[in-house]
Amino acid sequence: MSNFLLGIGFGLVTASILALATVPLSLQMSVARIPNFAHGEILTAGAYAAYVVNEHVSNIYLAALAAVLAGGAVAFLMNALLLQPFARRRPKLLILFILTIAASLIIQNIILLFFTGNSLAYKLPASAPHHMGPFLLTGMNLFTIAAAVVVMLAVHLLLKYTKFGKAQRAVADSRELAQVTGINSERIIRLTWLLDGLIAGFAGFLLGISSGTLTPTLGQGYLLVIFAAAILGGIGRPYGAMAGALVIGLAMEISALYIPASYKEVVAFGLLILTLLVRPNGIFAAPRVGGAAGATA
Amino acid sequence: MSQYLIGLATTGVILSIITLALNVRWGWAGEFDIALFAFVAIGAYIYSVLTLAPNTLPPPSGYILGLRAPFLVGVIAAIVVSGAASAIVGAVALRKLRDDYFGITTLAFALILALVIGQYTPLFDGYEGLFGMPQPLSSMSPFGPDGGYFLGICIIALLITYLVLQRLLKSPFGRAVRSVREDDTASLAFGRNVYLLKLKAYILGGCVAGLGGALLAAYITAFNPYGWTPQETFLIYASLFIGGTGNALGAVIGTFFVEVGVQEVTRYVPQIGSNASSGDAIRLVLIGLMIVAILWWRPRGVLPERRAMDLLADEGGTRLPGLRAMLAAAGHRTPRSGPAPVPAAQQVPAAAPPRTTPGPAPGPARASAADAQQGAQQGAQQGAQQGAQQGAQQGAQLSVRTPVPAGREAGPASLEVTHLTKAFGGVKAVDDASLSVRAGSLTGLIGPNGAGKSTMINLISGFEAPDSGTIVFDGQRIEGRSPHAISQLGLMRSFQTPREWPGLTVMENMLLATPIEGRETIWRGMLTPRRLRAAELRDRVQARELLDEVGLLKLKNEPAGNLSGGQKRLLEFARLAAAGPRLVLLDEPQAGVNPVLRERMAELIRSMASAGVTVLMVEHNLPFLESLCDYVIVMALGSCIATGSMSELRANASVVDAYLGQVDVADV
Repeated sequence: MSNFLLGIGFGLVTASILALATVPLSLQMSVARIPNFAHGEILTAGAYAAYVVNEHVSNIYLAALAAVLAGGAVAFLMNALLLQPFARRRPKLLILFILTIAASLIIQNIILLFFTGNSLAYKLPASAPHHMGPFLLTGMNLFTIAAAVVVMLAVHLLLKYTKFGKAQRAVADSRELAQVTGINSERIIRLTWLLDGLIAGFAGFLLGISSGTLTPTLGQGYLLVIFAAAILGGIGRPYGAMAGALVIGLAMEISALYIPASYKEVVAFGLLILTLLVRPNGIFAAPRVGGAAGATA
Repeated sequence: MSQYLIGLATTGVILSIITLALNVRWGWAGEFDIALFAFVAIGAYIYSVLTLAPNTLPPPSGYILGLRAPFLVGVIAAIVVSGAASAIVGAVALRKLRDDYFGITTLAFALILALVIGQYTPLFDGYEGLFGMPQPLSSMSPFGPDGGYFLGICIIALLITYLVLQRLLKSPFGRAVRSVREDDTASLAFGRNVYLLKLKAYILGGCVAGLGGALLAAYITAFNPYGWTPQETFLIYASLFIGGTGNALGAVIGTFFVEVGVQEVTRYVPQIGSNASSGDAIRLVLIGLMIVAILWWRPRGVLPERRAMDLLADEGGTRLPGLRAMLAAAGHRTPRSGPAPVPAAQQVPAAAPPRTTPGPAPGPARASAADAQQGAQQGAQQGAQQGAQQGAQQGAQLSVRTPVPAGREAGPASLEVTHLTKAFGGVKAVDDASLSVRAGSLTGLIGPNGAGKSTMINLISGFEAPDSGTIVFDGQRIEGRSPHAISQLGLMRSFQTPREWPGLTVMENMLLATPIEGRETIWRGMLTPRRLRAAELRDRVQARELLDEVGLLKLKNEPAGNLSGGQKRLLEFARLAAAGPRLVLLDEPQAGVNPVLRERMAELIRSMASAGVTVLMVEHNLPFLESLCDYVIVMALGSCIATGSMSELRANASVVDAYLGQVDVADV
């Protein structure tokens, strides 16, 4: 039983990182609607930026800030330089997807070029695990969970109460309609990418800490787990993404108690495939409303 | 030739086979598959497991099976197992997923397989992988183990693959698969089982990938899970994009360029500092940039997909009978026998008797219609009674609902819809609607926006499944059947905006509309291409006639996507004529059509009807409907509230209230 509770504790940490990585993806996919294969590279960029800063100043908070900024810069530039020019030609969705694959290839290998393929590790003050009720967590674990809660709350307030959040929801609903009512859709999309990157970069920093070592494929290795959480919660539903992250995070860590830990990703991928087959719009999806003429199969 | 060059060539040839596999999946069928290299791996592992000698691996993992199967057995098993695995993955993932989700699902599958094989040591030796696989003929080669004779085997395999795939691409099967890529909804509407076609393409691609995998294992003589990361699949994509998606020659050239050329050139980039991976990194950044550049400047690749040219001469030949006769001939789907490519139209009198003329029935459909008349009359009366009862019952709540007039001249009902209901969330788009369309009639379907007309069309044609109610077409219950099955019964539809297959030529669009009669199989495409071509010649001649009739013959080799809006409408009519339906649902055929063309449209619809095709048409242009239709059905709020001629409807207060009241009655 106590093992199970320990599993829940680790699950909460994993779920926190996963939520920070998934919510921005889901937000971006609701507004800009691009299945982003390079999302993992935004995380990687954040992790490496934090590493560089931490090497120089040995300050974990400045390192986190660097991760946020680097993630934001990568996502913003990827949209501004690559995706937006293509999107103006209104290509098929798959072409945009393929472009993000190319972007992933480029970013990942630029990182490989500068940092080599060797594993790097953050220099962190040692932090012994504490018993917190039934859980066994380090200070960094607690920081991770708290940070996730704060960021999720901030995203909620942003979406619900700011003009930008309202505009985002309008663009998500119908880009054309938003444009007609005087919202600059392209600008909203640019800012959404920036926000996406800021949060994802931070998630990359936490992922780097939790996995212990950095490699150029850090984020890509995590990508499908992120997609699993996003799809489980319903792509384009930031709140669903939080719930999806919680489910996937707990499922992975708890399953690791019963089957070899190396299979815990298989659990996530299995849930991903299952969701897509049974409820492709996510487990919280409302029934479809409205029948467009000539519906496709 | 030095051993080094032989090695490069062998790599290029084997990877070309793998690119051809991707070309089937992505180039032909438009399946965004990220698992390609997983199927290559399956082929490689199967080959290895079957051909390895016992204990070729050092202890403690000495190889257990040691089957020592011959090369060819290993290769064939690799092809079969990889194809079977594709069938399983495809059957699951192709079911109903969006294109991008399909890609993600295949990626998940590939990663699961890599994880499982990496962990599973007894058969595949986990992350260590297998090595020591036999390479045929290598001992005989003067160049040693990496030697030239094996290159010969690979070249032969590539040639066979290339020729078989080219033959299939040009066959009706290849055309049908490409139509699915271009617009799968249109493919469904013309009776194609889209799911099955996609699955077949996926399996075919898997078989070719398995062949590539077996050769790869035999060439490298070692294989482990690091050899097939998703990145390998992306490099194959890059080869295909650059060479030309859909073009087999382009695929081979692209592979040599990306996998051999770029690889070799970046070998000479000096290593940066102590970074042993700098060469790889620069190469992959370069390839990423090339993908972006080619998609920006030349999205179809250096060698774009070849257009299937129709080489029949446009001029010459006797003036053949017109659309009407063609329709009459096509409409009855007389079995076309005999190998001689005689246009079916020549067997029909040039001027088919107009529908109103009494006299001998122009074809079997007519005759059977007459036979069925009596029975159907009773049916219609019963239906009318039911309708009257229902109307009386509901009249209390909903005064607009009027019964079908009992005394109308009753032809046999071709289409009978009863108590049909379809809700989207809380909105009942179609709500207990009943309607009946007489065989051979030209019937209008009107109603205000949101009345449920388009949903009704979607329900009848199978693009939506009803929640309850029945749809009977020529005596068969069809509700809930798949659209392609309904289309194959002879109930076809058009769409509000024409749905052509944009990347295929006008002629190919026509050929895809003609009934397939079991021609679109892989086997026939591979084994009897000549016979298929002969059979198709008839269709080509007929298609030519129809295109001539609508004035598109000169554009027959143009991609249909290049046509103007009006031309697309005309093509749609020509396609329907070639398909020869017994009943056709037209969804706003007048939408976005200029007045001159509108007249033309009316003519085409009339000639369709006079050829014996039953027409049910949604339209907002009331004068147009009045000039064409025998009678008109009115829908409002999801139900059919009245049926009658336009003048009868104008006298019906509830109809005027629901619909006509919104316009100036004098205009109607």
